[in-house]
Formats: sequence, C-alpha cells, structure tokens
Amino acid sequence: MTKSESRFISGISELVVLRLLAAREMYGYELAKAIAAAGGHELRMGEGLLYPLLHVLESQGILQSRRRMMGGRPRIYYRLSAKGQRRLERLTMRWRGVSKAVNAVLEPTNG
Amino acid sequence: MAERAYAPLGTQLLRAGMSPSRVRRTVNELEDHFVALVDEQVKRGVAPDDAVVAARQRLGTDEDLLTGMLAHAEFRSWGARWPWVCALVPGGLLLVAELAVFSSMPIALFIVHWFDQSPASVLAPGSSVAFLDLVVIYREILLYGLPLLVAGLLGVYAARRRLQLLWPLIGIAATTALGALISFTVQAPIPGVRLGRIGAALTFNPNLHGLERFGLRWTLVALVPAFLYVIWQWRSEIPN
Repeated sequence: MTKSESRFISGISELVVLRLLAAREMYGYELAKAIAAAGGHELRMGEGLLYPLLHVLESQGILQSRRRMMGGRPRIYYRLSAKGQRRLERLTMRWRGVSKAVNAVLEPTNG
Repeated sequence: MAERAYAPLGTQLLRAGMSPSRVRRTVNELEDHFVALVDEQVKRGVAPDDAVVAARQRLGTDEDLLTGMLAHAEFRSWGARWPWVCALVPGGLLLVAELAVFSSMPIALFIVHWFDQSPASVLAPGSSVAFLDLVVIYREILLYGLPLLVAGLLGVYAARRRLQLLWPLIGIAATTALGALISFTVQAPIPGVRLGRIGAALTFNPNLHGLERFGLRWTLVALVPAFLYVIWQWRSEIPN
C-alpha cells in the first residue's frame, strides 16, 4: 500500500472505528478483528496504528475507556461517548454525501 | 519474548518526548495485541517463529508505529517540546517552596511553644531546647533539603522522560545555585535586652569568604541529584 493510499484509509478509519464501537465496547485486538471481518482486505492497515487513533479520539472525548485486568495484564476497553455518537452521525452523513458524489463521477453517464 | 516485544519502541517513544504513562499504556496495548495475534496464528497451525513474524507484520513496523504516535503533538510532554523550560521553571518552584516553608515557621514555633510551655514567647529569651531544635530543622530544610528535593525531582522527571542531558543538567545547576544563595539567619535573644529574630533572604556575597561558602554549598547540593540523574540516564541507555 502506498503512502497516499494509507492516508486515504486512515481518513475513513475513524468512521469505521466509531461505527464498530457504537455497536459494543471493544479492546484493540477485538476491534482490529471486527474491522477485518467487516471490511476484509480493503480496510487493512497496520493494526498497531489503531492505538494512536483510539488515544486521540479518547483525548477529544469522542471515546471513553475503562481498564480491566485480564490474565494479570491491564486491558483497555473503548466505547463511544455521547459526543462520539454525535460525531458518528455527522461523519456518516458526510461520508454518504461524498461517496454518492464520487460514485456519480466514477460511474459512466447515460446519454 | 512477547512480554517485552515492544520495550524498544517504548524507549524510542520516551526519547521522542511522550509521557511515561502514555508510553506504558501504548506498549501494554501493543504487547497484548501481539500476544493475541501470535496465539491466533499458532491455533491455525502456524509454527511459533512464523507466527511471531506474522504478528509483527500485522501490527506494523516500529517506524510506522513511532510515526503514528508522534504525529499527535498532544502526546508529547512539555519537557520534550520545550526542554529549556527544565532550566528555568525549577528555580521558580524552589523560590515558591522556600517562601511557603519559611512562612509556615511561625505556626510551627507557636505549636512547639504551646505544647512545650516554655517561658514567655517563643521568640523571647529563655526559649526551650525544642524551639531551638525546630529552628535547626528549618534551617536544614531551607538551605539543603528544598534545593535537593527540587533538583532531585527535576532529575527524576528528566530521566523518566529520557530527556537529553543538557537542559536538565543546566536546570539542576541553576536550581542548586539559587538554593546556595539563600541565607537563613537566627539572632539569639539576649535576656532582658532584646527578642530573637529569624530571617531568610536571597543574598550574594562577592567577597572571597562568601564565594567559598556559596561554592561549597552549591557543589554539595548539586552533585547528588546531577550524579544520580546521569547514572539513571546512562543505565536506561543499556538495552535490556
């Protein structure tokens, strides 16, 4: 994957992360698996890069986290906050609008 | 091996200025993820060594992870963004701490007097041994304890964040130099003549005697935190 492709995926990964965490609380590995299950190879990126994104979203109040001890190690679970829910709705609307417009450009015009 | 798989990345993140708590959390999350990926591969029948390689690939290279984390300036501590602050702020903190501790002295003296029932006022002739002990304790705290504490805390802060040596060492030198300029005077009361007096000030004596005393105090107080800081920093450079 080239750098520009990677940036493109990073841009939409916030939307994907928010959508998946809106469904249920997850920790990093679970979330990476959920992304792979939902998007297959199309949304694949370095799974470790999820963590900077999760930390930023948490620092912005979009995600909330809680720590649970699992097998003697702390594991951090993330979930959407009320602010995150509003952001998800805004991003979803924007994405639908943009993808509709891009599809209109990409698809052949009739007559 | 999996337990420490991302320790080198943690050191790089610390050196790049990320706060220790953020680094600990990131490394824990990556190692947890790494272990889960290796387990997943092994359960599918992949050889353990190949599973480790595959897990590394899925998480991304250390360089990508480092770039990803450092792209966010808010994760970097102020000590890493503006290391020169290490040379300026501790001196100010020392002065505030000195003022606070010195201001608490009358209260402490009053409490000692209250329980000790020494004759007359605590600042009057005939003060008790407990009162004099307290004055000595305050003197040691003001002249040596607080400069050592503030310089030591600066050393701990800088070492935990793997800051470059220069600015923290300048900070330790400046803070302890300021501490060595602080004077504390006690004028003993003379029965029937005058009351005692206690004072603290920032003073500089340009004569030889004054310089000698300043130099000795400065060296004594500066050497301990500077030495411990350099040793800590040096040990952290040794790979695990």
